[in-house]
Amino acid sequence: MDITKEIGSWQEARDRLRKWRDENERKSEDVVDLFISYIGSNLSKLGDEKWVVMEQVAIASMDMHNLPIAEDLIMELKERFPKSERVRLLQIQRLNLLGRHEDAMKGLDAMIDRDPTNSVPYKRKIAILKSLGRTTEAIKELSEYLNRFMSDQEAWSELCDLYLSEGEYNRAVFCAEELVLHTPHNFFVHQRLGDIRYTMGGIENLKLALSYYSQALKLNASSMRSIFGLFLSASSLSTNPRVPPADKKEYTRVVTWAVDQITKRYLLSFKHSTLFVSISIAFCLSM
Amino acid sequence: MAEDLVLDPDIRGWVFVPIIIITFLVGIVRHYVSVLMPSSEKKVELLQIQDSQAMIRARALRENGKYLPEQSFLMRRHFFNDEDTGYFKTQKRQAPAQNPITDPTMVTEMLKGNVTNVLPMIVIGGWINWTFSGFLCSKVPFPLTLRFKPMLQRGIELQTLDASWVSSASWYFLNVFGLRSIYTLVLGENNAADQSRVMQDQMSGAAMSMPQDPKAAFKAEWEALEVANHTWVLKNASSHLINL
Repeated sequence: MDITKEIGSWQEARDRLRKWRDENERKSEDVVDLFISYIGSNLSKLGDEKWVVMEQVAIASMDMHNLPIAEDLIMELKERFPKSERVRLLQIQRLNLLGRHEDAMKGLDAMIDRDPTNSVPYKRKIAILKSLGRTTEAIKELSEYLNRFMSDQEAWSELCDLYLSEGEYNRAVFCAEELVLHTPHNFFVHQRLGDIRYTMGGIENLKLALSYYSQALKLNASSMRSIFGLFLSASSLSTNPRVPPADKKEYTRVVTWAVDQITKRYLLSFKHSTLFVSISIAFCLSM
Repeated sequence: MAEDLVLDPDIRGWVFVPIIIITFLVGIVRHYVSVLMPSSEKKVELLQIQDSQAMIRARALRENGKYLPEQSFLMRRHFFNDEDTGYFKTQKRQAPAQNPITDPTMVTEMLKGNVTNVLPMIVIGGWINWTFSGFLCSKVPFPLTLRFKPMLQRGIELQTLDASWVSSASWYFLNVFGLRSIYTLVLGENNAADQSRVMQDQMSGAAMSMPQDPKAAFKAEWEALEVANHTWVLKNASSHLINL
């Protein structure tokens, strides 16, 4: 874990920081350690790169709650780039760290007024609201954001999670469907829809869950969660009294197929686990 | 007849290579000049982003709506297309000032574009034509028809000469387009010396923003959505899966 033992010189440290910047990795503890050991005293040798490095280290030090380093760096950045929106974002992050959330949000509102096309302040505001536990406000802000930026995948995914945490399954389904629209070949979006539909319960939803799980399995045959989901929804449907008998036969076929698949998979990974498999099947059937 | 022609090797040293060098250096200078000149960044309006994102979503709906149950598809189509409340119907957008003369920002944009790109090409082309005139520069490796003669053999009035022999001006133009890939190597992607890309940009619109005519785009998308059929692909997904 101690990165200072790996890196020998400040040039290596600079290269490692650059690599993390390019790959968008947020190794905050390592960044701060490298800064303290190597970069801090050699900042002037970095040339023009030093501003980007300072931004990177400022964010990392705020992640690590290391306020003195962060404040120094932010002050220097502000002197050099007084009107920069990026520096403003760092200042707002600092306000968050100090617990002054209302001030931070006012700052973000000002940023939004100045440039309504920049999506970053919106998202930060929603993140603050979410972290404060003000979920309903977060949902409201996020829906307004999505009214304007309709194709933002991350935002739809986030809204889906927020609705799920509130128990609003219908709306969560809507958000999850948006994700299917944009990336239909990703098995995970189908699986998530299947999960939500199964949780909602009721014959129609179970049927939909069944189809989504099947699609997820078609796209990725090794997803255990989808197979179990398929098994559970098919077995609930086959034991439901209101389902017509013709359909019930179909569902029982699905159940047997799913059990077969599950057994095969477990037997592949655990050689001596017939007992384990039968226990797990029995457990599922009893639910 | 054409095989008997031999060019003076001095032409190679004093014409052929200098033209390459001149074109290349002019391209580099052009790139740095455009970097130094403060270019008006195309400031995208919020409405533009909103519109373009809506278009993307509508298109995704058309293409992948078959994975959603019928009701969801209809719900979304209703959101876009409904007569009273649909997005494509109610959003009024002004057609932007199409008249280039009255809109001051567009005039400066055009002027700057012309100055940096077309003007040097014309000036240097003309200078090369004047300096290196009266002799042949090189031979094109493939046979050309006679129609190319007046274009490629300016200043050489020989009726019987094969059209493959070209003058220096045509060699210059060949260089302008050919050195594009070398600019990419030297200056990295997205450089301003890439003239043919500038010309392409002038012809096509921007991909991300919808500057010119959102109303026409909306109408097209509305029609496309209206005629889109919805067949739920996942209807018998479980049976398909088992029979696989």
